[in-house]
Amino acid sequence: MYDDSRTNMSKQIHTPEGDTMLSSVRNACLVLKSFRLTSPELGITEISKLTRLPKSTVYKLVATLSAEGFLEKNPVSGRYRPALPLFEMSQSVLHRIQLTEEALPFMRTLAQQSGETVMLSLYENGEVIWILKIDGPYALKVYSEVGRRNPAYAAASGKAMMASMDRKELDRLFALPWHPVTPKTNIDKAAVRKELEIIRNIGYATQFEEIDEGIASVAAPIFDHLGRPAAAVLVAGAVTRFKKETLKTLGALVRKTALEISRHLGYNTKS
Amino acid sequence: MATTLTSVRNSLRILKLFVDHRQTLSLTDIATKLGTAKSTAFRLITTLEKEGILKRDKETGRYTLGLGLVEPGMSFYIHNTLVQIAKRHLRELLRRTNETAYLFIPHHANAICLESVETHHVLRASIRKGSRSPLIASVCGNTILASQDRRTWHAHIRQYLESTDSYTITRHISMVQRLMQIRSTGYAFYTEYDNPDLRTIACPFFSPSGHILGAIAVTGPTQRLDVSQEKQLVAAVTKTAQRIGAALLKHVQSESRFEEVY
Repeated sequence: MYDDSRTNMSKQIHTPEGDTMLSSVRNACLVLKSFRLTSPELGITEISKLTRLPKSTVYKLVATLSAEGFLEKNPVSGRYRPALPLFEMSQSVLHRIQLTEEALPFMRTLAQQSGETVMLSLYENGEVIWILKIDGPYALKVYSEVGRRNPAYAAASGKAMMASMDRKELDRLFALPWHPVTPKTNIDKAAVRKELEIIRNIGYATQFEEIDEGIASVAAPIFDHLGRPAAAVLVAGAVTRFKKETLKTLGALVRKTALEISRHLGYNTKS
Repeated sequence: MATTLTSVRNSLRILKLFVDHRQTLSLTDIATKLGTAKSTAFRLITTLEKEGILKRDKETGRYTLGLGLVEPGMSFYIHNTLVQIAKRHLRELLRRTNETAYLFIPHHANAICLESVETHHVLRASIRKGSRSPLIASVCGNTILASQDRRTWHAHIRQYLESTDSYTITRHISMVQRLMQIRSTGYAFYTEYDNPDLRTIACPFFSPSGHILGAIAVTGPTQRLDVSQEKQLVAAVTKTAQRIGAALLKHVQSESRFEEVY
Protein backbone atom coordinates (compact mmCIF):
# COMPACT_ATOMS: atom_id res chain seq x y z
CA MET A 1 0.00 0.00 0.00
CA TYR A 2 2.86 2.36 0.67
CA ASP A 3 4.65 3.02 -2.53
CA ASP A 4 8.21 4.04 -2.10
CA SER A 5 8.14 7.02 -4.36
CA ARG A 6 10.93 8.74 -2.47
CA THR A 7 13.49 6.34 -3.85
CA ASN A 8 12.48 7.25 -7.34
CA MET A 9 12.73 10.93 -6.62
CA SER A 10 16.23 10.53 -5.37
CA LYS A 11 17.12 9.23 -8.78
CA GLN A 12 16.74 12.79 -9.99
CA ILE A 13 19.87 13.78 -8.21
CA HIS A 14 23.00 13.57 -10.27
CA THR A 15 26.50 13.14 -8.99
CA PRO A 16 29.49 13.76 -11.22
CA GLU A 17 29.97 10.84 -13.53
CA GLY A 18 32.41 8.22 -12.40
CA ASP A 19 32.57 9.63 -8.92
CA THR A 20 32.06 6.33 -7.14
CA MET A 21 33.16 7.70 -3.79
CA LEU A 22 30.35 10.20 -3.68
CA SER A 23 27.82 7.81 -5.13
CA SER A 24 28.57 5.46 -2.24
CA VAL A 25 27.81 8.30 0.17
CA ARG A 26 24.60 8.91 -1.72
CA ASN A 27 23.77 5.21 -1.56
CA ALA A 28 24.38 5.19 2.19
CA CYS A 29 21.86 8.04 2.45
CA LEU A 30 19.38 6.03 0.39
CA VAL A 31 19.81 3.05 2.69
CA LEU A 32 19.16 5.20 5.77
CA LYS A 33 16.14 6.81 4.15
CA SER A 34 14.53 3.48 3.35
CA PHE A 35 13.68 3.16 7.07
CA ARG A 36 10.33 4.83 7.37
CA LEU A 37 7.60 5.05 9.98
CA THR A 38 5.80 2.31 8.09
CA SER A 39 8.93 0.18 7.60
CA PRO A 40 10.87 0.39 10.87
CA GLU A 41 12.85 -2.80 10.31
CA LEU A 42 14.33 -4.02 7.06
CA GLY A 43 16.45 -6.93 5.90
CA ILE A 44 19.20 -6.70 3.30
CA THR A 45 16.92 -7.99 0.52
CA GLU A 46 14.20 -5.47 1.32
CA ILE A 47 16.65 -2.58 1.41
CA SER A 48 18.09 -3.77 -1.88
CA LYS A 49 14.60 -3.72 -3.43
CA LEU A 50 13.72 -0.30 -2.02
CA THR A 51 16.97 1.36 -3.04
CA ARG A 52 17.46 -0.64 -6.23
CA LEU A 53 21.04 -1.27 -5.21
CA PRO A 54 22.71 -4.67 -5.53
CA LYS A 55 22.54 -6.81 -2.40
CA SER A 56 26.31 -6.93 -2.07
CA THR A 57 26.47 -3.10 -2.05
CA VAL A 58 23.67 -2.89 0.50
CA TYR A 59 25.39 -5.48 2.65
CA LYS A 60 28.61 -3.46 2.81
CA LEU A 61 26.80 -0.18 3.43
CA VAL A 62 24.65 -1.67 6.19
CA ALA A 63 27.80 -3.09 7.82
CA THR A 64 29.42 0.36 7.80
CA LEU A 65 26.23 2.10 9.01
CA SER A 66 25.94 -0.43 11.84
CA ALA A 67 29.60 -0.17 12.80
CA GLU A 68 29.20 3.61 13.02
CA GLY A 69 26.13 3.22 15.22
CA PHE A 70 23.50 4.54 12.81
CA LEU A 71 21.74 1.22 12.37
CA GLU A 72 21.37 -1.72 14.71
CA LYS A 73 20.48 -5.32 14.12
CA ASN A 74 17.46 -6.76 15.86
CA PRO A 75 18.91 -10.05 17.11
CA VAL A 76 15.48 -11.71 17.09
CA SER A 77 14.32 -10.86 13.59
CA GLY A 78 17.80 -10.52 12.12
CA ARG A 79 16.69 -7.32 10.42
CA TYR A 80 18.07 -3.82 10.78
CA ARG A 81 16.53 -0.72 12.32
CA PRO A 82 17.53 2.92 12.92
CA ALA A 83 19.61 3.43 16.07
CA LEU A 84 19.74 6.10 18.73
CA PRO A 85 21.90 8.77 16.98
CA LEU A 86 19.27 9.05 14.23
CA PHE A 87 16.66 9.76 16.89
CA GLU A 88 18.90 12.42 18.41
CA MET A 89 19.37 13.99 14.97
CA SER A 90 15.67 14.05 14.20
CA GLN A 91 14.86 15.65 17.54
CA SER A 92 17.51 18.30 17.16
CA VAL A 93 16.15 19.18 13.69
CA LEU A 94 12.54 19.32 14.84
CA HIS A 95 13.47 21.37 17.87
CA ARG A 96 15.34 23.90 15.78
CA ILE A 97 12.48 24.67 13.43
CA GLN A 98 11.27 27.95 14.85
CA LEU A 99 8.06 27.69 12.90
CA THR A 100 6.72 24.97 15.17
CA GLU A 101 6.88 27.24 18.18
CA GLU A 102 5.32 30.15 16.34
CA ALA A 103 2.52 28.02 14.94
CA LEU A 104 1.75 26.00 18.08
CA PRO A 105 -0.79 28.30 19.80
CA PHE A 106 -2.76 28.77 16.57
CA MET A 107 -2.75 25.05 15.92
CA ARG A 108 -3.98 24.27 19.43
CA THR A 109 -6.94 26.58 18.83
CA LEU A 110 -7.64 24.87 15.51
CA ALA A 111 -7.54 21.43 17.19
CA GLN A 112 -10.07 22.68 19.75
CA GLN A 113 -12.34 24.25 17.14
CA SER A 114 -12.24 21.39 14.66
CA GLY A 115 -12.06 18.48 17.10
CA GLU A 116 -9.68 16.74 14.67
CA THR A 117 -5.96 16.06 14.46
CA VAL A 118 -4.02 19.14 13.38
CA MET A 119 -0.61 18.96 11.74
CA LEU A 120 2.07 21.21 10.37
CA SER A 121 3.81 20.17 7.19
CA LEU A 122 6.93 21.30 5.32
CA TYR A 123 7.77 20.84 1.65
CA GLU A 124 11.12 19.54 0.46
CA ASN A 125 12.19 18.04 -2.88
CA GLY A 126 8.74 16.98 -4.04
CA GLU A 127 7.71 15.62 -0.68
CA VAL A 128 5.94 16.87 2.40
CA ILE A 129 7.09 16.02 5.90
CA TRP A 130 4.94 16.33 8.99
CA ILE A 131 6.80 18.17 11.71
CA LEU A 132 4.19 18.86 14.38
CA LYS A 133 1.02 17.09 15.40
CA ILE A 134 -1.70 18.03 17.86
CA ASP A 135 -4.43 15.55 18.63
CA GLY A 136 -7.99 16.79 18.76
CA PRO A 137 -10.73 15.19 20.88
CA TYR A 138 -11.41 12.60 18.14
CA ALA A 139 -7.71 11.85 17.71
CA LEU A 140 -6.94 9.24 15.09
CA LYS A 141 -4.90 6.16 15.52
CA VAL A 142 -3.25 6.30 12.13
CA TYR A 143 0.34 6.74 11.14
CA SER A 144 -0.14 10.45 11.09
CA GLU A 145 3.10 10.78 12.97
CA VAL A 146 5.73 13.46 13.07
CA GLY A 147 8.53 12.71 10.64
CA ARG A 148 6.43 10.87 8.10
CA ARG A 149 7.03 11.80 4.46
CA ASN A 150 4.71 11.58 1.51
CA PRO A 151 4.70 12.77 -2.08
CA ALA A 152 3.43 16.37 -2.25
CA TYR A 153 0.87 15.60 -5.00
CA ALA A 154 -0.92 13.08 -2.73
CA ALA A 155 -1.09 15.18 0.44
CA ALA A 156 -3.55 18.02 1.05
CA SER A 157 -0.71 20.05 2.58
CA GLY A 158 1.45 19.33 -0.46
CA LYS A 159 -1.25 20.46 -2.88
CA ALA A 160 -1.90 23.56 -0.75
CA MET A 161 1.77 24.53 -1.09
CA MET A 162 1.95 23.51 -4.76
CA ALA A 163 -0.91 25.91 -5.52
CA SER A 164 1.24 28.88 -4.55
CA MET A 165 4.68 27.53 -5.31
CA ASP A 166 7.03 29.31 -7.71
CA ARG A 167 6.93 28.15 -11.29
CA LYS A 168 10.37 26.57 -11.38
CA GLU A 169 9.82 24.30 -8.40
CA LEU A 170 6.36 23.36 -9.64
CA ASP A 171 7.74 22.41 -13.06
CA ARG A 172 10.36 20.29 -11.37
CA LEU A 173 7.69 18.53 -9.33
CA PHE A 174 5.53 17.88 -12.39
CA ALA A 175 8.57 16.50 -14.21
CA LEU A 176 9.10 13.80 -11.57
CA PRO A 177 7.57 10.36 -12.00
CA TRP A 178 4.44 10.14 -9.85
CA HIS A 179 3.38 6.95 -8.09
CA PRO A 180 0.17 6.24 -6.23
CA VAL A 181 0.40 5.90 -2.45
CA THR A 182 -3.05 4.27 -2.21
CA PRO A 183 -5.42 3.17 -4.99
CA LYS A 184 -7.13 6.55 -4.57
CA THR A 185 -4.04 8.71 -5.11
CA ASN A 186 -4.59 10.96 -8.08
CA ILE A 187 -1.51 10.81 -10.28
CA ASP A 188 -3.17 12.33 -13.33
CA LYS A 189 -0.99 15.41 -13.73
CA ALA A 190 -3.49 17.35 -15.86
CA ALA A 191 -6.21 16.75 -13.28
CA VAL A 192 -3.92 17.88 -10.49
CA ARG A 193 -3.10 21.07 -12.43
CA LYS A 194 -6.84 21.79 -12.56
CA GLU A 195 -7.18 20.99 -8.90
CA LEU A 196 -4.44 23.53 -8.11
CA GLU A 197 -6.53 26.20 -9.90
CA ILE A 198 -9.47 25.43 -7.64
CA ILE A 199 -7.23 25.47 -4.56
CA ARG A 200 -5.97 28.93 -5.54
CA ASN A 201 -9.57 30.12 -5.70
CA ILE A 202 -10.94 28.61 -2.51
CA GLY A 203 -7.75 28.94 -0.48
CA TYR A 204 -7.56 25.37 0.80
CA ALA A 205 -6.73 21.90 -0.52
CA THR A 206 -8.29 18.52 0.24
CA GLN A 207 -7.30 14.90 0.08
CA PHE A 208 -9.60 11.88 0.41
CA GLU A 209 -7.86 8.59 1.19
CA GLU A 210 -4.97 9.50 -1.11
CA ILE A 211 -2.46 8.74 1.66
CA ASP A 212 -4.19 6.46 4.15
CA GLU A 213 -7.36 4.50 3.62
CA GLY A 214 -10.21 5.99 5.62
CA ILE A 215 -8.45 9.30 6.21
CA ALA A 216 -9.19 12.68 4.65
CA SER A 217 -7.56 16.03 5.26
CA VAL A 218 -7.95 19.73 4.54
CA ALA A 219 -4.92 22.03 4.30
CA ALA A 220 -4.00 25.67 3.68
CA PRO A 221 -0.61 27.21 2.95
CA ILE A 222 1.34 29.37 5.41
CA PHE A 223 3.28 32.19 3.78
CA ASP A 224 6.51 33.79 4.92
CA HIS A 225 7.18 37.55 4.91
CA LEU A 226 8.03 37.39 1.20
CA GLY A 227 4.76 35.67 0.34
CA ARG A 228 6.40 32.32 -0.40
CA PRO A 229 4.69 29.15 0.86
CA ALA A 230 6.73 28.22 3.95
CA ALA A 231 4.60 25.38 5.30
CA ALA A 232 1.01 24.17 5.44
CA VAL A 233 -1.39 23.58 8.27
CA LEU A 234 -3.81 20.70 7.95
CA VAL A 235 -6.70 19.02 9.68
CA ALA A 236 -7.00 15.24 9.28
CA GLY A 237 -9.77 12.89 10.31
CA ALA A 238 -11.95 9.94 9.37
CA VAL A 239 -13.18 10.37 5.81
CA THR A 240 -16.74 9.70 7.03
CA ARG A 241 -16.65 12.92 9.05
CA PHE A 242 -15.43 15.04 6.12
CA LYS A 243 -18.76 15.53 4.36
CA LYS A 244 -19.60 18.43 2.09
CA GLU A 245 -20.86 20.90 4.70
CA THR A 246 -18.23 20.05 7.30
CA LEU A 247 -15.61 20.38 4.59
CA LYS A 248 -16.55 24.01 3.94
CA THR A 249 -16.44 24.84 7.64
CA LEU A 250 -13.11 23.05 8.08
CA GLY A 251 -11.72 24.70 4.93
CA ALA A 252 -12.60 28.13 6.27
CA LEU A 253 -11.13 27.32 9.69
CA VAL A 254 -7.88 25.96 8.26
CA ARG A 255 -7.54 28.92 5.89
CA LYS A 256 -8.10 31.35 8.76
CA THR A 257 -5.52 29.58 10.95
CA ALA A 258 -2.94 29.52 8.12
CA LEU A 259 -3.49 33.22 7.53
CA GLU A 260 -3.07 34.01 11.22
CA ILE A 261 0.20 32.08 11.34
CA SER A 262 1.35 33.77 8.11
CA ARG A 263 0.65 37.23 9.55
CA HIS A 264 2.46 36.22 12.70
CA LEU A 265 5.47 35.39 10.49
CA GLY A 266 5.32 38.84 8.92
CA TYR A 267 3.25 38.10 5.83
CA ASN A 268 1.33 41.08 4.47
CA THR A 269 -2.05 40.03 3.05
CA LYS A 270 -1.95 42.58 0.27
CA SER A 271 1.21 41.22 -1.28
CA MET B 1 35.76 -0.44 -2.14
CA ALA B 2 38.02 0.50 0.75
CA THR B 3 38.12 4.14 -0.28
CA THR B 4 34.42 4.35 -1.07
CA LEU B 5 33.59 3.04 2.40
CA THR B 6 36.05 5.54 3.85
CA SER B 7 34.00 8.30 2.29
CA VAL B 8 30.82 6.78 3.73
CA ARG B 9 32.47 6.63 7.14
CA ASN B 10 33.64 10.22 6.81
CA SER B 11 30.18 11.41 5.86
CA LEU B 12 28.78 9.62 8.92
CA ARG B 13 31.43 11.29 11.04
CA ILE B 14 30.18 14.62 9.69
CA LEU B 15 26.67 13.75 10.83
CA LYS B 16 28.01 12.81 14.26
CA LEU B 17 29.60 16.24 14.55
CA PHE B 18 26.16 17.76 14.25
CA VAL B 19 24.73 15.37 16.86
CA ASP B 20 27.59 16.15 19.25
CA HIS B 21 27.78 19.89 18.76
CA ARG B 22 24.10 20.72 18.30
CA GLN B 23 24.85 23.81 16.30
CA THR B 24 25.66 25.14 12.88
CA LEU B 25 29.11 24.36 11.50
CA SER B 26 31.13 26.01 8.76
CA LEU B 27 33.02 24.14 6.05
CA THR B 28 36.27 25.00 7.85
CA ASP B 29 34.90 23.67 11.17
CA ILE B 30 33.91 20.42 9.52
CA ALA B 31 37.17 19.93 7.64
CA THR B 32 39.19 20.67 10.79
CA LYS B 33 37.20 18.34 13.02
CA LEU B 34 37.27 15.64 10.36
CA GLY B 35 40.97 16.09 9.68
CA THR B 36 40.55 16.16 5.91
CA ALA B 37 41.25 18.66 3.18
CA LYS B 38 38.56 21.29 2.70
CA SER B 39 37.94 20.02 -0.83
CA THR B 40 37.22 16.50 0.45
CA ALA B 41 34.90 17.79 3.18
CA PHE B 42 33.17 20.04 0.66
CA ARG B 43 32.38 17.17 -1.70
CA LEU B 44 30.97 15.06 1.12
CA ILE B 45 28.91 17.97 2.45
CA THR B 46 27.53 18.75 -1.00
CA THR B 47 26.42 15.16 -1.42
CA LEU B 48 24.73 15.17 1.99
CA GLU B 49 23.12 18.49 1.14
CA LYS B 50 21.71 17.12 -2.12
CA GLU B 51 20.13 14.31 -0.10
CA GLY B 52 18.50 16.86 2.21
CA ILE B 53 20.49 15.57 5.17
CA LEU B 54 22.45 18.77 5.61
CA LYS B 55 21.18 22.24 4.92
CA ARG B 56 23.21 25.30 4.06
CA ASP B 57 22.10 28.67 5.37
CA LYS B 58 22.16 30.98 2.37
CA GLU B 59 23.04 34.03 4.46
CA THR B 60 25.77 32.69 6.72
CA GLY B 61 26.99 29.81 4.53
CA ARG B 62 27.00 27.57 7.60
CA TYR B 63 25.52 24.09 7.71
CA THR B 64 22.85 22.49 9.90
CA LEU B 65 20.99 19.20 9.80
CA GLY B 66 18.19 19.13 7.24
CA LEU B 67 14.97 17.18 7.24
CA GLY B 68 16.38 14.22 5.29
CA LEU B 69 16.81 11.81 8.18
CA VAL B 70 13.96 12.95 10.40
CA GLU B 71 11.73 10.07 9.37
CA PRO B 72 14.20 7.23 10.12
CA GLY B 73 14.93 8.94 13.45
CA MET B 74 11.27 9.17 14.34
CA SER B 75 10.83 5.58 13.24
CA PHE B 76 13.28 4.59 15.97
CA TYR B 77 11.17 6.48 18.49
CA ILE B 78 7.70 5.37 17.39
CA HIS B 79 8.68 1.70 17.32
CA ASN B 80 10.88 1.65 20.41
CA THR B 81 9.52 -0.87 22.93
CA LEU B 82 10.78 1.05 25.93
CA VAL B 83 9.15 4.30 24.78
CA GLN B 84 5.88 2.51 24.12
CA ILE B 85 5.90 0.97 27.58
CA ALA B 86 7.16 4.02 29.47
CA LYS B 87 4.88 6.66 27.96
CA ARG B 88 1.80 5.77 30.00
CA HIS B 89 3.77 5.48 33.24
CA LEU B 90 5.48 8.82 32.71
CA ARG B 91 2.12 10.53 32.17
CA GLU B 92 0.93 8.98 35.41
CA LEU B 93 4.06 10.26 37.16
CA LEU B 94 3.43 13.74 35.77
CA ARG B 95 -0.14 13.61 37.10
CA ARG B 96 1.06 12.62 40.53
CA THR B 97 3.93 15.05 40.89
CA ASN B 98 2.79 17.82 38.55
CA GLU B 99 6.37 18.16 37.34
CA THR B 100 8.21 17.25 34.13
CA ALA B 101 8.77 13.48 34.06
CA TYR B 102 11.18 11.73 31.72
CA LEU B 103 13.19 8.67 30.79
CA PHE B 104 16.92 8.58 30.08
CA ILE B 105 18.99 5.72 28.70
CA PRO B 106 22.79 5.43 28.68
CA HIS B 107 24.69 5.80 25.42
CA HIS B 108 28.50 5.82 25.73
CA ALA B 109 29.43 8.63 28.14
CA ASN B 110 26.02 10.28 27.94
CA ALA B 111 22.45 9.82 28.99
CA ILE B 112 19.89 10.42 26.21
CA CYS B 113 16.32 11.44 26.89
CA LEU B 114 13.99 8.99 25.11
CA GLU B 115 10.69 10.32 26.35
CA SER B 116 9.60 13.37 28.29
CA VAL B 117 6.24 14.73 29.41
CA GLU B 118 6.19 18.35 30.51
CA THR B 119 4.09 20.00 33.17
CA HIS B 120 2.02 23.06 32.31
CA HIS B 121 3.53 25.21 35.08
CA VAL B 122 4.93 28.43 33.62
CA LEU B 123 8.07 27.91 35.67
CA ARG B 124 9.21 24.40 34.83
CA ALA B 125 12.07 22.19 33.79
CA SER B 126 12.13 21.71 30.03
CA ILE B 127 13.72 18.37 29.23
CA ARG B 128 13.34 17.65 25.56
CA LYS B 129 13.28 14.31 23.84
CA GLY B 130 16.57 13.47 22.18
CA SER B 131 18.58 15.75 24.45
CA ARG B 132 21.72 14.38 26.04
CA SER B 133 23.59 15.03 29.26
CA PRO B 134 26.91 13.63 30.40
CA LEU B 135 26.52 10.67 32.77
CA ILE B 136 28.85 12.42 35.16
CA ALA B 137 27.30 15.90 35.07
CA SER B 138 23.56 15.35 35.40
CA VAL B 139 21.53 13.84 38.22
CA CYS B 140 19.85 11.42 35.86
CA GLY B 141 23.22 10.43 34.41
CA ASN B 142 24.66 9.93 37.89
CA THR B 143 21.82 7.56 38.69
CA ILE B 144 22.78 5.43 35.70
CA LEU B 145 26.50 5.67 36.38
CA ALA B 146 25.99 4.67 40.04
CA SER B 147 24.94 1.19 39.01
CA GLN B 148 27.98 0.67 36.79
CA ASP B 149 31.32 -0.57 38.12
CA ARG B 150 33.74 1.61 40.03
CA ARG B 151 36.43 1.64 37.40
CA THR B 152 33.92 3.27 35.10
CA TRP B 153 33.15 5.85 37.81
CA HIS B 154 36.78 6.83 38.17
CA ALA B 155 37.33 7.06 34.45
CA HIS B 156 34.28 9.30 34.01
CA ILE B 157 35.08 11.50 37.00
CA ARG B 158 38.69 12.00 35.98
CA GLN B 159 37.85 12.75 32.39
CA TYR B 160 35.09 15.17 33.34
CA LEU B 161 37.01 17.09 35.99
CA GLU B 162 40.08 17.34 33.76
CA SER B 163 38.04 18.60 30.84
CA THR B 164 36.56 21.35 33.01
CA ASP B 165 40.00 22.19 34.44
CA SER B 166 38.70 21.70 37.95
CA TYR B 167 40.37 18.43 38.86
CA THR B 168 41.04 18.08 42.57
CA ILE B 169 41.11 15.01 44.77
CA THR B 170 38.39 16.58 46.96
CA ARG B 171 36.07 16.92 44.00
CA HIS B 172 36.87 13.41 42.88
CA ILE B 173 36.09 11.99 46.31
CA SER B 174 32.89 13.94 46.73
CA MET B 175 31.65 12.62 43.39
CA VAL B 176 32.49 9.06 44.37
CA GLN B 177 30.58 9.62 47.60
CA ARG B 178 27.56 10.82 45.73
CA LEU B 179 27.58 7.77 43.45
CA MET B 180 27.94 5.51 46.49
CA GLN B 181 25.01 7.24 48.13
CA ILE B 182 22.83 6.79 45.05
CA ARG B 183 23.83 3.17 44.79
CA SER B 184 23.00 2.39 48.42
CA THR B 185 19.67 4.26 48.56
CA GLY B 186 18.57 3.33 45.03
CA TYR B 187 17.65 6.88 44.08
CA ALA B 188 19.07 10.38 43.60
CA PHE B 189 17.65 13.59 45.05
CA TYR B 190 19.91 16.52 44.13
CA THR B 191 19.94 19.96 42.55
CA GLU B 192 21.04 19.95 38.91
CA TYR B 193 24.66 20.51 37.91
CA ASP B 194 23.98 23.15 35.28
CA ASN B 195 21.10 24.84 37.11
CA PRO B 196 21.01 24.94 40.92
CA ASP B 197 17.43 26.24 40.80
CA LEU B 198 16.26 22.86 39.57
CA ARG B 199 16.05 19.69 41.60
CA THR B 200 15.88 16.18 40.18
CA ILE B 201 14.61 12.96 41.70
CA ALA B 202 15.83 9.98 39.69
CA CYS B 203 15.64 6.23 40.04
CA PRO B 204 17.25 3.55 37.86
CA PHE B 205 15.44 0.60 36.31
CA PHE B 206 16.91 -2.71 35.28
CA SER B 207 16.46 -5.54 32.85
CA PRO B 208 15.21 -8.86 34.21
CA SER B 209 18.83 -10.00 34.37
CA GLY B 210 19.79 -7.00 36.50
CA HIS B 211 21.45 -4.98 33.77
CA ILE B 212 20.98 -1.19 33.97
CA LEU B 213 18.57 0.01 31.28
CA GLY B 214 18.03 3.62 32.21
CA ALA B 215 16.57 6.02 34.74
CA ILE B 216 13.21 7.61 35.41
CA ALA B 217 13.28 11.16 36.73
CA VAL B 218 11.25 14.18 37.71
CA THR B 219 12.77 17.66 37.58
CA GLY B 220 11.31 20.92 38.78
CA PRO B 221 12.13 24.21 40.51
CA THR B 222 13.66 23.70 43.98
CA GLN B 223 10.98 25.91 45.52
CA ARG B 224 8.32 23.35 44.56
CA LEU B 225 10.45 20.23 44.97
CA ASP B 226 11.76 20.96 48.43
CA VAL B 227 13.35 18.61 50.90
CA SER B 228 10.12 18.24 52.91
CA GLN B 229 8.62 16.36 49.97
CA GLU B 230 11.55 14.05 49.40
CA LYS B 231 9.74 10.97 50.70
CA GLN B 232 6.62 11.36 48.57
CA LEU B 233 8.55 12.28 45.44
CA VAL B 234 10.98 9.42 45.81
CA ALA B 235 8.08 7.02 46.37
CA ALA B 236 6.37 8.21 43.17
CA VAL B 237 9.51 7.99 41.02
CA THR B 238 10.59 4.63 42.47
CA LYS B 239 7.15 3.18 41.86
CA THR B 240 7.20 4.35 38.24
CA ALA B 241 10.63 2.81 37.69
CA GLN B 242 9.43 -0.47 39.20
CA ARG B 243 6.30 -0.49 37.08
CA ILE B 244 8.28 0.09 33.91
CA GLY B 245 10.69 -2.68 34.91
CA ALA B 246 7.76 -5.02 35.54
CA ALA B 247 6.04 -4.08 32.27
CA LEU B 248 9.28 -4.80 30.41
CA LEU B 249 9.58 -8.17 32.09
CA LYS B 250 6.01 -9.00 31.13
CA HIS B 251 6.67 -7.94 27.56
CA VAL B 252 9.78 -10.08 27.42
CA GLN B 253 7.99 -13.10 28.85
CA SER B 254 4.92 -12.76 26.68
CA GLU B 255 6.82 -12.45 23.46
CA SER B 256 10.17 -13.93 24.43
CA ARG B 257 11.82 -10.95 22.81
CA PHE B 258 14.31 -9.98 25.43
CA GLU B 259 16.99 -8.90 23.00
CA GLU B 260 14.65 -6.41 21.41
CA VAL B 261 14.57 -4.40 24.59
CA TYR B 262 17.68 -2.46 25.43
